[in-house]
Amino acid sequence: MIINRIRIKNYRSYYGEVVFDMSKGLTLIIGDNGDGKTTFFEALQWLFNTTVDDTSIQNFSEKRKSELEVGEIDEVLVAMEFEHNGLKSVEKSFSIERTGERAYRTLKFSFRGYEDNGSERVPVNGKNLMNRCFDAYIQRYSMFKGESTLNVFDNPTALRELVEKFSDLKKFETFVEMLAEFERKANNAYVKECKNDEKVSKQAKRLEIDLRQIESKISDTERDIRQYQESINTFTGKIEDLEKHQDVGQKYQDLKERLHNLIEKRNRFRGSIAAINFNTSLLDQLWVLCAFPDVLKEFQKKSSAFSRLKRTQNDAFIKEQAKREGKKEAIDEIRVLANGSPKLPWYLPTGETMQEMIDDHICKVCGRPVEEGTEAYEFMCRKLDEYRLHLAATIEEANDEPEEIKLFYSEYVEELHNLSISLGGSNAQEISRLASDINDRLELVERLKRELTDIEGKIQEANDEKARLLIQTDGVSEETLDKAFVNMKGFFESKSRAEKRLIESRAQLDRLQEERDELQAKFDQLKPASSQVKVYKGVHEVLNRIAKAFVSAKDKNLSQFLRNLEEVANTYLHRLNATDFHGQVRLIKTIDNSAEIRLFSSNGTEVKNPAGSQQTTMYMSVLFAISDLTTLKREENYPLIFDAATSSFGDSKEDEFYNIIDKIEKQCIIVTKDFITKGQLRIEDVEHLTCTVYRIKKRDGFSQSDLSTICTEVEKVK
Amino acid sequence: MAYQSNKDKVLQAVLLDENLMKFGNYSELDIKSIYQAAESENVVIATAAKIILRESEGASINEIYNEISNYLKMNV
Repeated sequence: MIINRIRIKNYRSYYGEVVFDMSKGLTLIIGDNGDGKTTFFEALQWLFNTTVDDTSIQNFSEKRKSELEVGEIDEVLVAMEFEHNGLKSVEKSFSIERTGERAYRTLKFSFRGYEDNGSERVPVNGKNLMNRCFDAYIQRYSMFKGESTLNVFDNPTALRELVEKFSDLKKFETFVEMLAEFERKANNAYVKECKNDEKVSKQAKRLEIDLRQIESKISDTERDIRQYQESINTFTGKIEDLEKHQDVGQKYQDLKERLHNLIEKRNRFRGSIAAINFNTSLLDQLWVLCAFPDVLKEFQKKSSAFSRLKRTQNDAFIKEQAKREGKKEAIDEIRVLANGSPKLPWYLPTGETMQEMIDDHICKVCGRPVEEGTEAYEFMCRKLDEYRLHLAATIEEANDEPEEIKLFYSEYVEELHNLSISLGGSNAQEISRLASDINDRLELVERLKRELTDIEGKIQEANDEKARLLIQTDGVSEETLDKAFVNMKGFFESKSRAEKRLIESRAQLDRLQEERDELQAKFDQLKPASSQVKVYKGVHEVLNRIAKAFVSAKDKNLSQFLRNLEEVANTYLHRLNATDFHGQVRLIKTIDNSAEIRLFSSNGTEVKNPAGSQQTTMYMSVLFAISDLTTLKREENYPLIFDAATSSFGDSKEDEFYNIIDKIEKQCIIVTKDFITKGQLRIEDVEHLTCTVYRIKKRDGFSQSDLSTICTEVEKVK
Repeated sequence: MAYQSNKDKVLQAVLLDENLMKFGNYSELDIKSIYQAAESENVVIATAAKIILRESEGASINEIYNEISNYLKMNV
């Protein structure tokens, strides 16, 4: 069957009608994510399906549906023109009618076929035509969605089916089962006759009991062997999975530990930052006073200035008074100091302070010693005398004399000055330390915040790295990786135990089978009196031997089939990896009568985990080999249709691979997103291709939230 | 044999088994087409051929067994 043309109308994202003309070699349909590649593949699957008349409204173009008026009808259709013993075509369609605002109904499902009959085009039943030309069995080996479906022997019955369909000799399974049944019947008949024979009945009965017991044990042992084998396969699979991801598992564990440490560190920093509560510190730690030193300084400066000003003004007043009154004491009192600065008022320092300084012979303001008889000493004594006189005069005046005229009657400035002194000293020192404390704290918090930001960045990086790692592991979960190390040891032990028991069971089976053969031989050696029994013995022996010959022939046939398939697969493998390492494909029969596709180096080493593209070409080579078989047996070609089969290929492998496929004499349709980078088709790379190329793409201007705006456009690139 | 149907090929594959040849006391030259083999004087050759032939004709397992069993009882 060679597909000439595909027509798709109103099928999901394909709005209106689009046409694909297929090459007899390779046709590439290139589209980015969401452009309609898988929809194309599924449209073909819908067309080829002959088991279900699928009229799901979900298959109707959402865009076309949104345009229908109430009462309007349109159809969804997928059609194919092909060659298969002449030109034929098949089309499947159904219609949709809009019956209300959001109500639709489906009608008129149709599955039609047409065949060219000489000069006429004859209509035929589409389902029958499809079953005749491209039945479900062939489709199974022709259509593949994604790389994971390429391994045909993933299905355990695949090998048996392939052998039945395509090996040179068929029906061996049927004959083997039939002959086993014949042998059993013949044996039962023989044993029955033996038990009735006068001469040997006692021995026959005894032997039959023994045989039954042995058969029962053999059956149990065979069941155990199957179970152990299954267990071994299961554990082997799990171990292979873990080994495959061992590197990843190790990296995962390292990442997890790093994350744990980072998170702990982050929590510590957060704790430290939270411990510094600016709100409570305002009052509890007196941070509210942090501006106090500057304020105090300003206050002291101003009060000192006020004090000086008051004294200056007072001195000037007194001078004026003295001038007016002409009193010598007043003039004497208005004495300036040696450098012309006004002297301190009479009450500063206090009397007690002055007496102390005189007694101690030291000025406690400047710290210089003052010896008796010196000018400084005399000055201090005079000052003390002045103080005492003023004090006495003040009391006297208060008692006797009428109130003197003063310039200043209050002492607020003095009070302020005293206050500024009392606020200074150790209190001021303590409060001035607050500012630097606060500064230190703020700096600490800023530093902690910077480090916290840094750690959070590292945590994010580690999480991103973990996410990337998990993506690489083909769906293996975090839980699996977490358990990997713990489980690995357990799996090895369990597998080892099962292997040991398998060996023991096999040895036991061999012994039991020997015993059974001995018993059977004893049966065969019985010399019954009746000739009738001898006849039954002869019948059983012939059927037994023929049954064994059938089993042997079946095994040889299967082995030959696998060797033939392997040989053809290797020629394709060689071609598909012309400039790269390709190894050799081997098809290994498994204990459950299936097969495994494995890759070996020519020196006999198995390539345990072939890289993505290597594995893909390995599976594809087997598919091409099966396709060859199909062609040979059915004397008819069939296309191979792949959806995203090459997602593991790198850019450098893509065009080489496709050009090779184009030269293989087989029709291939590959839907892929290769040759697209950042949403754009790499035209210069596509130019190197020799095959037919289509580009499918969502039409620009669609809404990201409205499906009915999406429409796939088709463009033939070459 | 010029043209070989699946029946012919299956028969040939079975009869070429060395152990069966020794048991049945026949050689490769005695192996003919399935129809000829079904009429063979060699009981083993004839039995194998009859089984394959009757199966292809759609006979049931019981029918085939009864026929083969009766044939063998008469000829073994």
